[in-house]
Amino acid sequence: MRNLQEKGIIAMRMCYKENNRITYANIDEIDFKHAYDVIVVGLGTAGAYAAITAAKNKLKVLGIERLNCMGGTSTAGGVLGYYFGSSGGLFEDVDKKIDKYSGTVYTSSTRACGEAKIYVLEQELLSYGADIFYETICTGVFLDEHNKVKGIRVFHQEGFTDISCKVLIDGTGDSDICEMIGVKTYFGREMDGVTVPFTSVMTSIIDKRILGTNFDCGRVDQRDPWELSKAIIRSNSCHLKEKYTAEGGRMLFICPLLGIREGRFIEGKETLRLKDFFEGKITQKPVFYAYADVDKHGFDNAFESETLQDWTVASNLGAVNVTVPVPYEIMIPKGFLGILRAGRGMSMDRDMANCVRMIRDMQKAGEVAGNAAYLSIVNDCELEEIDYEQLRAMLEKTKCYDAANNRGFWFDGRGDNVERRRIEWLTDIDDIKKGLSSSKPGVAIWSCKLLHRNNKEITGALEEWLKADCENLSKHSAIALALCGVKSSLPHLRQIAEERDNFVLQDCRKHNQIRGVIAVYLIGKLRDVKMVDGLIEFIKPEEVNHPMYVREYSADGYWFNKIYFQFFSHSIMALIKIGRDYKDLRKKIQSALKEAVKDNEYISRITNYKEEDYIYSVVKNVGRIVESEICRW
Amino acid sequence: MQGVYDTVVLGATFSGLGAAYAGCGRTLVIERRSNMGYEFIACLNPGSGWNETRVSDIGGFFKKELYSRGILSPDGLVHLPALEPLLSRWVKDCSFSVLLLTEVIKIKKVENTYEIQIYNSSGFGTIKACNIVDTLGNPLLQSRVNVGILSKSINAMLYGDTTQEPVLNNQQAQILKGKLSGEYILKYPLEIEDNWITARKKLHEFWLNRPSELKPWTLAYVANSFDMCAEKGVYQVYDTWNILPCYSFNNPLEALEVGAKFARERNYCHADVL
Repeated sequence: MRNLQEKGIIAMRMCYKENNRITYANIDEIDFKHAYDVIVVGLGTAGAYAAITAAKNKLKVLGIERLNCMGGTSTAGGVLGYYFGSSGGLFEDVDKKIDKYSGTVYTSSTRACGEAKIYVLEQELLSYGADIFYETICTGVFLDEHNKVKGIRVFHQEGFTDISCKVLIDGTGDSDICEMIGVKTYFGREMDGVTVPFTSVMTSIIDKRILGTNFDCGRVDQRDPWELSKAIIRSNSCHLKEKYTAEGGRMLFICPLLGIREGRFIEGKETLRLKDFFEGKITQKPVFYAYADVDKHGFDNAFESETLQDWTVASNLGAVNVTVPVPYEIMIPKGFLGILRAGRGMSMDRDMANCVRMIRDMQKAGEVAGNAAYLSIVNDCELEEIDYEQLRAMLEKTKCYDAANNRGFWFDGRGDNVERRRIEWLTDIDDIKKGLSSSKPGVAIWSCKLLHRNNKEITGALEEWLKADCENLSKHSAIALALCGVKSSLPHLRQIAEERDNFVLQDCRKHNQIRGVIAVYLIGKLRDVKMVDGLIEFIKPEEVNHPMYVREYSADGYWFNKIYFQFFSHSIMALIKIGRDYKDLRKKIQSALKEAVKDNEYISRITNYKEEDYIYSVVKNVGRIVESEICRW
Repeated sequence: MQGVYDTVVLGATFSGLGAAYAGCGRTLVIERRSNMGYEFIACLNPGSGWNETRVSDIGGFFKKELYSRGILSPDGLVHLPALEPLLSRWVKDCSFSVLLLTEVIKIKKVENTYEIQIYNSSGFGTIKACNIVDTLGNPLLQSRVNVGILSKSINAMLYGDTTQEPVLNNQQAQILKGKLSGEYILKYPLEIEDNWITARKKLHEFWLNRPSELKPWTLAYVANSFDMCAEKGVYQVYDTWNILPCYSFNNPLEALEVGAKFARERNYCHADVL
């Protein structure tokens, strides 16, 4: 037992969580049973590489993991393959070791070999002298009077143990450790608090290889242990089959880790925002480049942010890959010392996190954190004071940072029906006209937005093209104009919406948008009061009888009227936006909205899926959004 | 996270779930893992004597489902992985509550009740209960009873690109047969003291250096729970806190039945005490 003042610490407190509240206890004396340079809590995708990197740098490292293996989503979660992300980094060498055992000791997989990865990650970390505590949870964090982390309290099979560290890396899925010490955190969609749907993964042996099959299974607030427990049980039960045979593949296991894609985000020293990125406000000091589409999942686009909808709905570029330069500062929790956040909960808005969350990129985030911890310790400086050039030099050695990964925007889907190519935003008027005249107008539409934002004249030409005989040119010009905020587009948008234009744009390999739905979104974005009556018509029960709305049936007889749902939900949201800005119209809009979701009857027009099903829950959520909005009015 | 229950079951094991099903009153199952029935499913223990186990309503329901879905064969071979979605479907429709990913930190006896300190994504919390059915026997929670573990192994599902059966002429490990064609489980014995790191290392080294006739076989899935064997019996910590070791049953049906029978005999229903 050591008196803290003997150690030069004036005051120490232990932060912990009790009954969902963050609280703390003042500590007079402390007896750290172990001392480490770096403790990584959560040895998942990022945490595993944070620990390996720090240990490889000859630091004394302890890895703490609630499960009994490393790798998290990329092993226990069954997400075995890489979905984009950029190449280079420590993981490339580890992957080669994994490949060595794939097909020799462990069964090959159609993607990476999860069992080999569990073994190799563990051996890699141990080979650098690190310690691992499995089946261990962190229940408290010790902070000094400067909000600097001094150690943690863990609970494991020996009971509670207090351990000191110079740097703590929060590699948990939900920024649990950052939350515990009082870092400001964010969770869920602004409109309704929900998160990206989780996936449920089951593995089987098919054609001599392990194949993981997954599907979006619902949304869950994993911060609520009751809700999480129900989600896990429901998700596992979804894999029950009528008959089990070896034909067509033999089931192996349901992954023990739910495929949760979104957790708490911390407030960091810097925050990565999609809006800033689209406006060209990017860091000049990247530590790596993240690379993926803005992979938002879920189909209730109407309730996403306008930044996201401008890109995915109005411009139909949802499946375009973007390159995001990631700054180190998003890993530094604001107002705290001695702690880094590595993983999906780094300081980002959720729009950006749809892109900056892929396994390769999170492994890189871990590598950055491990190196940053090293520099802080050897240079005896705070984590926020480390030298960028020094950090980048370390990252360049493994190509975690590689300037060649700054690839810009790409149509880049494997097995795509769209040509794989780098996107150059258009500046030539003829190129823009050609693009807008086609069935793939997305690049031209977004280029108009960029030109307009940079005060380059484009709206005059777009207004001229509104009168064109070419249907595509006229309608896509209206969309581009609206995206520039020009209201002369509205008569044309009303026409597109009222004729329920069901033309599907063709820019992307997935998530292509319906032109009529785009028009409804933009009508809401521009707060078109003249379209209130038209929008109200869209949400009346008889609208579903329009011949363009067709039910899509599943093999087991359930159906979902997807196009109707898009018109319905976007019309609801457009009315909400107008109602927010025009108080005199609220009574009328409120009455129509109430009627539209009365007694949840609208659900039966959209789907016959069961209440427990994900589709049903998303459709039902529309009613909740309406009720919550009306309450605020 | 305050809650008051007639019975708290420690461990979402088959015996624990059987007890939760048969108990009357408010029942809560607390489980530190994210999966249920792991003492057979996740540890890849195919069990034995499936058809010798006498079943009541609960066991009967399961047995019927297992047969009709092709999970269990008349000769007692089982397709273990399919038990997990079946068990989840059943639990989903049961009236008791389940709290997964929840660690039990401490249990304090206060007169006729128990204060159970837990930890999960809500942080620390306390649950109160009249009765505890403990299927894990964690020595950290009580020191009155020591449930001895008799043996321990790490198991793995094999895959072979061959029509030959895998044969292991080695007393060190065993190969067990599953129900579906080509379904074989390697059972590799461990020392009781082995942890995940040493267990995985031993298994890896063993399979890396396996005999040439087993070369076509690879480890498709390594169990994420240890397969253990414990002494049968009901161990009493207090009159209302009993341990039914989950690793002491021959197969999941037997475990369900013993758990249910125990709860029925005890008639666990004492909410008025609280």
